[in-house]
Amino acid sequence: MEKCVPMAAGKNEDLKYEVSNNNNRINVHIADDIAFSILSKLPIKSLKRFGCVRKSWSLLFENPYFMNMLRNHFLYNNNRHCSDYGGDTFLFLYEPLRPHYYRASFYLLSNDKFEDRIKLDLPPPFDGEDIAMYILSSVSVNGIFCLGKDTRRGIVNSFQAALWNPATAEVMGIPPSPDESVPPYRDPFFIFHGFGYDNVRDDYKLIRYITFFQVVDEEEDVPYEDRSYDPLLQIYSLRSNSWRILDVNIPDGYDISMIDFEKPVGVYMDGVCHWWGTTDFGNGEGYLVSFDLRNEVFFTTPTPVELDMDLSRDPISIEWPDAIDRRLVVLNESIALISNRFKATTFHISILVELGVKESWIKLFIVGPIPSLDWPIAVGKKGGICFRQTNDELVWIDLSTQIIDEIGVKGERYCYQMGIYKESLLCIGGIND
Amino acid sequence: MAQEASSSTSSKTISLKTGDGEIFEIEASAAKQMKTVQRLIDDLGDDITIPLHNVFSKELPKIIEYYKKDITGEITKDFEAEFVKDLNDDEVKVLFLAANYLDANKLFEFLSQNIADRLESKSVEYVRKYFGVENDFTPEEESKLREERAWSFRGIKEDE
Repeated sequence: MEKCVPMAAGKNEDLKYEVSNNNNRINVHIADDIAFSILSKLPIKSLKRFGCVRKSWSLLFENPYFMNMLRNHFLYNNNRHCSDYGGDTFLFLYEPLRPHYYRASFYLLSNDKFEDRIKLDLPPPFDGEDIAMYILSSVSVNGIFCLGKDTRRGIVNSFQAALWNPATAEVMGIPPSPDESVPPYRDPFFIFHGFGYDNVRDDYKLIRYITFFQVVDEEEDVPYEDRSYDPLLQIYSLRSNSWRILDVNIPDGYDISMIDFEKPVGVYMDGVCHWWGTTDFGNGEGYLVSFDLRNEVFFTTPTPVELDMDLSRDPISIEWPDAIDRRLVVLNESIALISNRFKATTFHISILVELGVKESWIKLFIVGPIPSLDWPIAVGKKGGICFRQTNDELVWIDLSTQIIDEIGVKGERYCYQMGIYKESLLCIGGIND
Repeated sequence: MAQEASSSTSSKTISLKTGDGEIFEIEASAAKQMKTVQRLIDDLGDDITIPLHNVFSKELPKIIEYYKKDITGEITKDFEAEFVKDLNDDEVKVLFLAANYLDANKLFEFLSQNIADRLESKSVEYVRKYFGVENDFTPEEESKLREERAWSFRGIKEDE
């Protein structure tokens, strides 16, 4: 029979318990508030499982005292990983050359301030003026970026990409995909793309998902029954330096082409590319779509209704009362969503504990209300979030203190990408088989 | 063996007496890191043997070893790994509770993390026993919760 010995709670009180002999000390009860010091350091998945230990533990995520400890530990862990990893913040933005005329610029910020920037020259053809380019998956993987550029010639949208190592200035153009040079009866409308690393094959891959519009062309002689308007999923492998078409196999019958990917640039983490898409712009309902580069499988994770319950207390926009804006980011090695009611300046940050599991979205942080904020951009080196303000300035918000720190740069609303870059001397050409 | 430390010429070491009657010496700067000890020193003076009723001779030397390293700034990841390497889960628990009693924050935080790492994949029943808590769910409530949180049990081989 266990000898349960009452123990006064709290580190700062004198303990008032009697212990009859040393042997029974291992059965001593650990009071909840010191138990929290242990529980708050567990992975969230284990915490959810241990909710079955006793009733008070099943309510941990509703306990503000505990959640505070959990948040502190989450941020502490994040800061530790960031210092261990090193690297600099990279900032990609469109700077105005003259009214309505922009040029893409790429900087490294050594201590998160624009005044301490190093400008890196983008390699051709990405250094032109007034072109639409972006960094696939807003990421640098092992020191390599994948730069992408879209050009429209008439009705045809053509895509060009290259792998770039800024430290060695090596650039390797990615050959065009033969399947995209399409017969005239269809116009490609591209949905999303991603870049990342397959550690199983030591290969760098690009993925593109394209749907098609029918183009009316009386001179077209391909019979209707032989035409295909099916969406196309293509993968490029650096090792084979070629594209390949994959069968689009979405579990549970989700129709990816019905998802509106407002931002075709997703995020990448640990071998998996992710994108956020809405199925209903009016109420922000949507899915996280994920593609594992290693086993080449898609899966989706919807958000539960409960995720947005707190948002109902924020001020709403008259035109779109239920609309919710969302930004997908990677925060402390977790997929996270930053959500806000359309036009409101309170931002709710939730992380996904288990991919594919709708119930595993956990609300962690709230930023604001901070009236000057407009739109979140990315997560920074120290776990702070970069926001754009309504006056166009970019700022850092510290998640634990909510203190605003100006970065010292302005720019266009949707044209920023930011992430962490760590130099490497990896030779891109050397990976080709 | 109860023994009053004689008025020491050096105020730099403090005598601590465990619940089972043994005496250990600790440097005053290390004693400062244990707020309970410091409070007792403030109340009783530093030339008296400080009684620690709820800490015993099995764990106090280990705690002293930790803070000896701390005051020379030598606590590294390697040292911490070595420190807990040969301790089983129950021994770490006893140390953890002692660190709590002594209000020794750095050690307390370190041991909390170590215990969390040890418990991560353990079964629900193991964790109950470890924390000395009762299961206050009815069988129906528990099975309903397990079903709701089934995803958190997936891929876990709950070991003892």
